[in-house]
Amino acid sequence: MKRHGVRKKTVTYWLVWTGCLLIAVMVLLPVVFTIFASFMSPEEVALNYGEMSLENGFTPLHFLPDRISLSAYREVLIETPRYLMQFWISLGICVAICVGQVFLSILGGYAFSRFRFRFRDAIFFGVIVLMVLPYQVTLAPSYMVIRALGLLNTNASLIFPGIFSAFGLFLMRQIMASVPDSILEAASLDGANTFVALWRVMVPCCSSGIKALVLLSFVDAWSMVEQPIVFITDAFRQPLSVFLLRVGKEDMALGFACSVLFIIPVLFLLLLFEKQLVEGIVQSEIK
Amino acid sequence: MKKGSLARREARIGWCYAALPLCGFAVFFLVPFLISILRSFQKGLTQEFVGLENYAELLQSEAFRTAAINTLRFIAFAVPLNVLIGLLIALALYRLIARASFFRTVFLIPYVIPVSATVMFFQILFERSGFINTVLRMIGAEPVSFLDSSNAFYILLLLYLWKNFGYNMVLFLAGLSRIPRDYSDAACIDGAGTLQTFWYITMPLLAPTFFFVFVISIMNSFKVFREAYALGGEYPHESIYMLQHFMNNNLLNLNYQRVSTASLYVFVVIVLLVLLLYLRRQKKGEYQL
Repeated sequence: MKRHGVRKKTVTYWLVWTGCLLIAVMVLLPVVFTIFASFMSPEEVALNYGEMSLENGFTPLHFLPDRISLSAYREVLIETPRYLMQFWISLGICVAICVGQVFLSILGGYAFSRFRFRFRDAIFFGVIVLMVLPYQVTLAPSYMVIRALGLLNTNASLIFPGIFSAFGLFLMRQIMASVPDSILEAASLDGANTFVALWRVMVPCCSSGIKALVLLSFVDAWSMVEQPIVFITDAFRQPLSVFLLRVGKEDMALGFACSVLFIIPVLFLLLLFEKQLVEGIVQSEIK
Repeated sequence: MKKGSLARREARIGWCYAALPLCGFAVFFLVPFLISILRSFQKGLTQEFVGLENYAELLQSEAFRTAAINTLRFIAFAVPLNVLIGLLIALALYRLIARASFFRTVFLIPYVIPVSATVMFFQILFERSGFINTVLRMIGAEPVSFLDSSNAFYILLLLYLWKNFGYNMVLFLAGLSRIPRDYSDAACIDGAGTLQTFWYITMPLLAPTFFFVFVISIMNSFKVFREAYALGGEYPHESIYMLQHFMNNNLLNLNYQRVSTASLYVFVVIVLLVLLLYLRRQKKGEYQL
C-alpha cells in the first residue's frame, strides 16, 4: 500500500527528515566518539582526555585519532586475559538469564493464555503488579533469599532472580492470547498433546514475540547494575557492566577499547531482531 | 459429569505449566516481600512489634527524604517528557518519512547500549574541563559546573531521555500501526484537517498504548539509577541521590528494617500510580467505540 505523505515531498517532509537526521547524529555521537577513541594510542588519549587536559583546564576538541593504533585492543584482547575472561563470563551469565527467562515465560504464558484454572486471573493480576515494581522494591527481598541460600558473591545470585521475569511472562501471555484457537484445535485433533502443541504450533506462531523478548531480556541483563553491586561485593567477580566503570577510571584507553567490545553483542542483537521487536509489541497489544 | 472432569484436567495441566515460573516468583519475590512487610513493623534486634514506628522514623531521615524527593521529582520531569518526545517522533516517522526503518533502528541504539559503555564520553562532555566548557570558554562565556552542582539532575534527565525515547517511539509505532487506515481516510473525506484527525481519531485509539507507555516509562525511570551510579558512584551529588542509593547503603550496613520500610513506601506509591493510570485509561476508553 502506498503511503500518502511519501509521494509528494513537501517542505514538511524535508523539515522532519532533517530533524530526524539531527537526532540520529546526537544519538550516535557517544558511540562513534567511543569507537574513534578506542583506536588512539594510550599517550594520545592521556594527552587529550586524561590528566593533561585536567591540568590545562580544557579538553581539546579532538575526535579523530592522529594515527590509528591498536595497542589498546592488543592489551584487552591478547596481553591481559582478564578483560576477555570477564567478557565471556558476562556473556555466559546473560545468555543463561535470557534462555531461562524465555523458556519460563513461554511455559507461563501458555498456562495463562490457554488454560482455565482457579485463581488464574487473580494470579495474573499479581504478575502484573510484580512487573511494575522497580528494583527498589524487589531487590531487598531477593537479597534476603540469596543470602539465606548462601549464593552471595556467585554468578548464580545474578542468574536466579533474573530468569524469573514477570515482564516476560506478561509479554508471552499477551502474544499467545492473540493466536487463534482454531490452530491449536487442529493440532489437538491431529493427536498432539498440549506439550507438542506448545513447541510445534504455539512457539512458531509467536516467533517474532519470542525474538522481541530475547532482545529485551538480553539487553536488560547486559546492562545490569543494581543486582551485582548488592549481591557481589568482590569487585573482581562483577560482570562487565559494573567492572567496566572501574576500568575506565583506571586506564581510559583500555576503557574505550573494552566499551567497544561491550557494545558489540547488543548492537548485533539489535540489528538481528529489531524488526521483530516492533512486530512482537504489535502482537502483544491485541487483547 | 464428563465436562466437569475435562475442566479439572484442563486446570491440572494449566497448573503444571504455570508451576515453575510461579514457584520462582514465590521464592525470590513474594515470600521475602511478605517477610519484609513483617520486618517493617518490628524493631531491629529484639523483633518486637512496634507498629508504624519505623515508618515515622524513616520520614524523619534526611537521607531518605532527599532520595524520595529526588526520585519523585525525576519521575515527574522524565516520564511526561519522554512520552511526549516518543509520540512526536513516532508520528513523524509513521506517515511522513521514507527510510523510517533506518531511523527506527538508529533511535533504538541508546536503549540497548549499557551506560557503562558511554559514560566516559558523557564525563568528558560535561566535566569542568570538558568539551562543553571548552566551547563556552572559546566563545568567552564562564564555564559551568554540570556534574557537581544541582545541574547534575538535568544531566541525568538528558541521559534518561537520550536512552529511552527510542523505546517509547517503538511502542507508539506499534500502537499507530494497529489503527486502521480507513478511519483517518474517512475523516479526511469528511473534511477533517491533520490536527483534527489526530486529536479525534488517533489519540482516542492510542489510549491503551498510552497506558502501556506510561507504565514502561515509569519502570524505566527507576532504572536511571544506573546512569547516576555510573556518573557519580555510591555517593553522587545530592541532586541525583536516588532511592536506590539509599537502599544500597542501608543494605550494605545490614539495616533491613529501614530497607524494608523504604521498599514498602515505594510499593504503595507505585501501585497507586499505576492504579491511577489504569482508571484514567478506563475513562478514556469510553471514547473508543
